[in-house]
Amino acid sequence: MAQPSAGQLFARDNAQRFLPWVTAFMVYLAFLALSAVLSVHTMVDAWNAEISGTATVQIAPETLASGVQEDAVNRALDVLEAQPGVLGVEALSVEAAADLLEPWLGSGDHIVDLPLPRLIDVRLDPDIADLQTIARELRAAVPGARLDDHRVWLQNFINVVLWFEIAAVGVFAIVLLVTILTVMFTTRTGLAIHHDVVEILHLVGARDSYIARKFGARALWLGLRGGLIGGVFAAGTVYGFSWLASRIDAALLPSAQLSPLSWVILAMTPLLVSAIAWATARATVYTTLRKLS
Amino acid sequence: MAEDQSVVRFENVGLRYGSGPEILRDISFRLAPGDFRFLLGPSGAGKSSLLKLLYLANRPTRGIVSLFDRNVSSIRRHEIAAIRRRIGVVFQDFRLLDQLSGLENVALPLRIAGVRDAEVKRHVEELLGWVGLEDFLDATPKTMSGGQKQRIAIARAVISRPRLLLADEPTGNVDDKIAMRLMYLFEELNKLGTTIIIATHNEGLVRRFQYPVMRINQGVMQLPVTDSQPASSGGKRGDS
Repeated sequence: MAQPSAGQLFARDNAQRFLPWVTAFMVYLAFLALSAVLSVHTMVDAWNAEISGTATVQIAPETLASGVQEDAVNRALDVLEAQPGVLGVEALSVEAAADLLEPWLGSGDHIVDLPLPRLIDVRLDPDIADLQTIARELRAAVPGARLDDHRVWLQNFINVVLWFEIAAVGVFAIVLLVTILTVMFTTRTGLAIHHDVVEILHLVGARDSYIARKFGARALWLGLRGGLIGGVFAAGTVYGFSWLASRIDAALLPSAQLSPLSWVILAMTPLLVSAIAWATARATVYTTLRKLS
Repeated sequence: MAEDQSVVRFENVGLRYGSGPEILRDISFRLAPGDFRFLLGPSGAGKSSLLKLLYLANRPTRGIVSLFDRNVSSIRRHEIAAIRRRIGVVFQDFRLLDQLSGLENVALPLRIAGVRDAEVKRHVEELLGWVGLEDFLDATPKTMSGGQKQRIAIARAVISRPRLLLADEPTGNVDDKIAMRLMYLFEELNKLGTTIIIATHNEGLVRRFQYPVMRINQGVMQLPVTDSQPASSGGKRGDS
């Protein structure tokens, strides 16, 4: 013989039937918004890690009069190797540069005859290397040489990502707000429909906290059911997108796969929404009963 | 010292609903632990309104209502439950929860008070046996007759051994045999110190048990002599 459950005390009404489906939809949207934020974050982190230890030296073609090309590259290599924090340098040959351009310009000997810049790949220890000093000394040794640490490009990309993240967090916040409003509406409707039961409970000595516990437990259970449904569908959707993304040949794009930690965070979404439903139902019972008295 | 205690004390209590006329006027009386009263009066006289003041469903518009030596006229909302747990109420319309079994309905006050499972079951089964409903433990009120519902309602009201029992027509839907049995149950409870007020139209019941009568008519109460004294000297049989 157990404590009568919320389901026994308050027969299910239409508003409550509606709640799991609203919760499922909200969890689905929240899950997608959060997964978008997390995957983009993972992508930016990967990109950042990939380029933070590298830089490229570009020696403009107009400075490379025939016969002095290799001399300029060698001087640049000497300057770079002498700098603290430079872990390694590798000059790309004209042929290697031509290979990189082949997808756009086609193959053939004519490419190497084009005025292509000479590129030097530099590996750095970002904690030690002073990029401004390296750039200054490079320009002094090789006029027209330019050091690119990719930061400008990355910053532009991060700005775009930031706006995307703000939008996704906005969607997440709206989802939580709609969940709160829905649970408030459902709870108020439930209190109105079952006002006779509430009155009897009060008359036999129940405190508001007893009734709040019952409504909270009901909202938590319905929220968990809906959250589980929404979470499963959302996980399937995210997994599907990840699978599609993995089939796209985008060598320049780092992986946007979700980390195990991200999946753990996403798995918390149904629990978070259910917890919000529980807390909202309890708070609504307290405020509504106080107003009614 | 015990004589100074009161379970119920009304001082010049008046009640009106909204801006309507006064339903109850200048009601003053006092009941001590172990008092037993019948509350008589024609329909619309104010019996139910008086009972509502007693179980804190309404507040008086004037005067002082005191329960268990505590002024409850302006009691704060969160303090009401603690007072109500010391009061058992038998409603005329039973007010059972249709979705719960007879056993669960009777057990509700104990469950709310957090009494242990084993204790709840033992008390409830014993009491349902006493009111002759031992075969209706699992039946829901929808499947019960009016008399059966009434006995469930009475069992629910007395299960937690209240210090004050209020009953509105508790024998209205049962035959004489069951009515006598219920009255004996009330008497047993009364012997344990519970103050009892029974609102009824049943003059035969009043004559048979001879407890003091509080008569109410058009919102004004006529009291037995003892209730108008500073402290009740006990509402035992034959006092009125």
